[in-house]
Amino acid sequence: MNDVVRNYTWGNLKRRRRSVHHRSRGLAKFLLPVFAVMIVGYLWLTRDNYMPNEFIPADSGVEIYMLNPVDKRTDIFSSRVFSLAPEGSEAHGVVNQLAGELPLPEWLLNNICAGPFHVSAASADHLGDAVIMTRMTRVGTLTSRLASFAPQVHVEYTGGLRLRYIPDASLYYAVRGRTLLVSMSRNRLVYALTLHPTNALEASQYRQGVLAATQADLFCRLGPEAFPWTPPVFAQMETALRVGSDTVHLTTNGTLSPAFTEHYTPFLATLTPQPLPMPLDGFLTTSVAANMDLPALLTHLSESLPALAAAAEMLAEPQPEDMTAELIEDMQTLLQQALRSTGSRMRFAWSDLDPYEMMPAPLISATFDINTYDVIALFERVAPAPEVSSGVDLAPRLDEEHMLAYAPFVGGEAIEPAITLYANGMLVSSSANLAREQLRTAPLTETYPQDGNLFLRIQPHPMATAIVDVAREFAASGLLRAHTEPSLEAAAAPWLDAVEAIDSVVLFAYGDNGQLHADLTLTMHDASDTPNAATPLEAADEE
Amino acid sequence: MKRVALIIVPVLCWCTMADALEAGAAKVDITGPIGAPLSGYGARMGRSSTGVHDPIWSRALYLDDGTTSLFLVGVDLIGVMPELRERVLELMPDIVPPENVFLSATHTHSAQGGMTRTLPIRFVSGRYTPDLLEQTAQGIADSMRNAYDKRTRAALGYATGAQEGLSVNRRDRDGPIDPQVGVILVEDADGAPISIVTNFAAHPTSISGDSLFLYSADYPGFYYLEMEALLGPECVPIFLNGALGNQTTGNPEQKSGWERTESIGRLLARRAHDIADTIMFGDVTLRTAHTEAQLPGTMLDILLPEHTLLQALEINDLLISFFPGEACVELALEMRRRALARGYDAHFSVGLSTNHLMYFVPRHLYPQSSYESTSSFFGPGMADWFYTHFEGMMHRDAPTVGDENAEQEEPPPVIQTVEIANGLVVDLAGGPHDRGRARGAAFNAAIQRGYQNRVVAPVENGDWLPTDGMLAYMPPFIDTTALGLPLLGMQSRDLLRGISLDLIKEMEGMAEGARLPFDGFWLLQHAPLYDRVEDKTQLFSTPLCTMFAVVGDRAHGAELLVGRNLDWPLPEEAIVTRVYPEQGSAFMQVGFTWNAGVFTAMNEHGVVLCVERVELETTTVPEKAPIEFLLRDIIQNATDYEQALQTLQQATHIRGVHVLVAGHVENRPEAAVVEFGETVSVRQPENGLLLGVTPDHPTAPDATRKRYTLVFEALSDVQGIDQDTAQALLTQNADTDAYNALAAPWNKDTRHSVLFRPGEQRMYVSLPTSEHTPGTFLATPLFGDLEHE
Repeated sequence: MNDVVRNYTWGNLKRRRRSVHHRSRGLAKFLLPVFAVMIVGYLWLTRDNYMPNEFIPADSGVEIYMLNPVDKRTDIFSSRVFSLAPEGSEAHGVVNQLAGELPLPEWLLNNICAGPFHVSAASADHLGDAVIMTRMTRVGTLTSRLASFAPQVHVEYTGGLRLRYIPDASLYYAVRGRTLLVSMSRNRLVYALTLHPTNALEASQYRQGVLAATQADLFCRLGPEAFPWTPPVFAQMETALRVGSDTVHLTTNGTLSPAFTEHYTPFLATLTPQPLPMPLDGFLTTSVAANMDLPALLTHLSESLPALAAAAEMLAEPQPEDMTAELIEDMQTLLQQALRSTGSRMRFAWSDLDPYEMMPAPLISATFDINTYDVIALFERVAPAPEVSSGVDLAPRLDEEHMLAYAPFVGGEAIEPAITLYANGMLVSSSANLAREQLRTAPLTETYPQDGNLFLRIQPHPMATAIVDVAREFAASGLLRAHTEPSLEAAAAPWLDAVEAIDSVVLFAYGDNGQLHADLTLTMHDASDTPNAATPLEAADEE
Repeated sequence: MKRVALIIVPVLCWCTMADALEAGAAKVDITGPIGAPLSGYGARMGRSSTGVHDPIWSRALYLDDGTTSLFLVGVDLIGVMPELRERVLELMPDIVPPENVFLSATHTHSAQGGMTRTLPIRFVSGRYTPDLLEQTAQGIADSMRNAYDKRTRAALGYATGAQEGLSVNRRDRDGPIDPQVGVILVEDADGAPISIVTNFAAHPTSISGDSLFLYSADYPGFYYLEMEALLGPECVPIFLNGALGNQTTGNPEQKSGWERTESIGRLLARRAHDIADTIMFGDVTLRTAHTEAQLPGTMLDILLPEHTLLQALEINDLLISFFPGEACVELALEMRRRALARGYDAHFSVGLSTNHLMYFVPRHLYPQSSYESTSSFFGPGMADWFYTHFEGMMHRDAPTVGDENAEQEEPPPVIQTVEIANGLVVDLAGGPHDRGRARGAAFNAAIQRGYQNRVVAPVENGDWLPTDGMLAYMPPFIDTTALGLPLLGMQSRDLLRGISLDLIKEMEGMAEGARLPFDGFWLLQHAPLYDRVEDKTQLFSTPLCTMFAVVGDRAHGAELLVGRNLDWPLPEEAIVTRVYPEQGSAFMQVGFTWNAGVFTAMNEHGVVLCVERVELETTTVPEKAPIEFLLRDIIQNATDYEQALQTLQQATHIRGVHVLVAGHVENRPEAAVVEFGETVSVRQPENGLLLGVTPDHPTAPDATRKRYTLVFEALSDVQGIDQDTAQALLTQNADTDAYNALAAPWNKDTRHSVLFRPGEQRMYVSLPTSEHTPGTFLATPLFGDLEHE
């Protein structure tokens, strides 16, 4: 055997090659036009030749804007906020469903919902008739057109509107350009498709909505029709929702309807932001600063809230001259007369519940702006205490060391209503001991960093724990309706677990000449403090 | 020999020593902190204490006779709450078994409260303070430990004497008191007093006014001081309060304020000291007994337990019975009578021991709206319950009566039931309680159902709850039923007034048989009355009944015929009961499974009673027993028509009903309708015919007048009204309008139709069929078998 390198040829290579080239050129000659036609057809079929606002009625009561909801789903449901829904609750089921496996492949949904996602409904009462509108990619558009050939989809020509109907889901849809419109209401969908341009939402408004949705996770615009009351509270209201990993933030701006303000709360129309007093400690605490003093505020509020009428009347009663010389023999009179002179700023805090009191009692404090000399003048009119305390005792006693008036009332230290001087005002407390404690620390005289009319903070976990502690006392005594001690524990445990992760819920609100603004923020504790809080997506992964 | 003697004498001595009594006593100041709530007076409304007038004590005596060891502990508290006793038993030295700890409260109303978690009790005892409970329990346990540590050879004796003026009956100035002061004296081997125990019954509630918020042991505090002055500071006086339910302190020295409190305490100590001077000492044998007894049912089950510990202590021939609450003096006097009858030398009753189950009143005081009665929640038979259980714990046998060997006659069966068309006939014999229990047990499901539907449900729904007051303003999460039912029970005591003890016993039996609290059963009895008062629904616009009597010649084939239909809007199971009581007359009545009163009845003397409500719009709760319970007593006790009529006329508190009474006077047939309106009037037959309501009655409902018009028209032209005519009239179906409008004798609400022939002691009963047509008349003799016609 030798090592010579051998070259072999097989037929006429050159010729053969030429022959292949020749054949492919022929194929290309055939395919290229087809391909070109297909591309043109694809581009034609998936062209974007409709503005979405053309399908949105200008008089929609409810509009919801969202961008890329499928993508955003991952971000939203990775928030720990959604782990708050107690297991077994309806909310838990809904969250799991939304965070779980989707009915269609995710790539497809991403192509179907590839941009702004919009929901419009005539009113909040008719959300079932809502029209959902999404912007699709070309792939999504083509897929939706091809889906028309699926046996599950029925085609309705409807005078050329080319509606599609999926009977299994009771859904109608239509495709216009790269816009997909879906509704359970055929009429509503037809209405959207045949909307006269003059009745459609203006493009600028739509763009504003989309812009707002880019800055939030969800943007909602409500018109007067959204509110079932007559007259409607708001002429328009806009709400943006942002979901962070540990927070939920809801910002609302509303324009009061003229009819509502005129009939019910004219004072709201003139409300402007005011320096708010820093809130007191408590698991429910609120600061209020209005443009008017408390008696006037109550009078205004009672116009829309009749339950406050009695209180308003009590404080509004003119004080006869000779009454200022009369001795004050009960705590109600002392409080009533003090409140008549209060200013526009007040605070209220619910700091605890004493489950062991004679009747479980909340520990409540409130402060009011008032000239302290007025309070001292009232204290000077307090009648000498009766020698014998018997029955329900509301005769005020003076603790001169603390400049505090209190009534023994009933029960123990948690049920001793008290009034004392506090900073530049007055502190009213359900417990004299609580009032004395508050006097031992420096009074809160600062103002909240931002001017407003209302600050409200709730710390759900301590509040729920205190409430359950009280419920336990009633259950132990056989007095809790529909619950024994074990059934109460079983019912309370998931809710206590759920709220354990929440640090606070804060509402900050103000009025600005007919516009109402409100920020609501739910904040969770640090994740390291609540190790058991798995997000819905994590839970879905585990499953 | 000397050696033998040297061995025997110490052994004998040891044996003697081993059986000798050992005793020790100690006291510990358990006064709570100032600011803690005091327990007792409602006027305090749970507010805090402001100071100490005199200390609160726990005083313990340890006794050991070599076989039995025990602690006798008196604490200056309002009561011994279960939480406190439980904690004391956990903390006490492990020396005696728990059942030999006799822990009693003196019932001072001025010691610390706050030791119970139960919410309604906090209104009296104030804010629940677990630390205070712990501190108090520790103090009591310390007193027991110290008493044990101080134990020494001891002698013990006891005596009783009488007091005068130290106590009075607080509910009835002429009512009974316990005149006895019982004393136990314990001395050491040198004759020095270790402890003196005094038993006396009176409420320590002498403090008021500006001292209301001061700690004080009340008069027992002064008793301690005086006794320590008399017997020396080493002696530990103990006070055991007696059956103080309706007893309070007298005022023999006419003092007031604290001086009065001091006067009673010191006088008591001196009297006890005098009695102690008469004591002889001897060998001591201690015997204890206890039982965990199941309590009668109660509607206040959120506060009161199902079982309680009962204890008794025997010291030689002295028997001490410990009541777990505030027994009225009548119970102590009866217990003493029973104890002495068994050969005990003396008997003490000690109250407020081991628990505080509120008040215990004798049966005859239960039908009152007094504080003691309305604070009793176990029914009128609670005294008997105590006698039974305490006697069961006595070591001495009951005295025998008569010849034990004589053959006992077999008693007749208490209950026999015979099924008839559309109902039952129930024969009941024996004592009232036994009869009631048998009937209650036989129909317990129906009675329970009635209780749930007619009593519990309207309270749960708020129909029976007041529109004002505390209950009306309860937040919705509070279960007001748990409070509302016992409160209704308390308010219903007055309705028992005027009812015989015999009938009350029978109802106790029915409640027991039906496994209902007595108060619940009693509410069921007048549920329709309450419904009428609270809410005038259709139920209350329904007239009750038709009734007529035919007297003399008009009654063809009999001298006296009484016809009656009962109209009743609620669905019921009908029964005919024939009752053969041990005392009084046998009688039969037609009614329902649950009702203890009488609507339609006749007794062995031929006295017939039927009732009809006429003035529906003016119905109010009567101040005493409703009519059906009065009739029930009359039917059992009246021996003739005149007696029944006279008794009826005395029921002047009844309004808005007519009662037909019929019978014979010296073989002469008589009948009358007693009309209870603004006054009580009697209407006699006219032309031999007597209608329950005259067709022109001014205030009767329209349907009633129409119905009686129909009856009158049917009978007025018939000269000889015989049984068939009467039965046909009673069961005739009028046109649909009259049937539905209750204007026909037999209408949609008719529950039974009865024709009486009093001369023959026989009644004929027709009960509605399932289609609500009249059933066949069944001849029901009072004695003997039933006959279908």
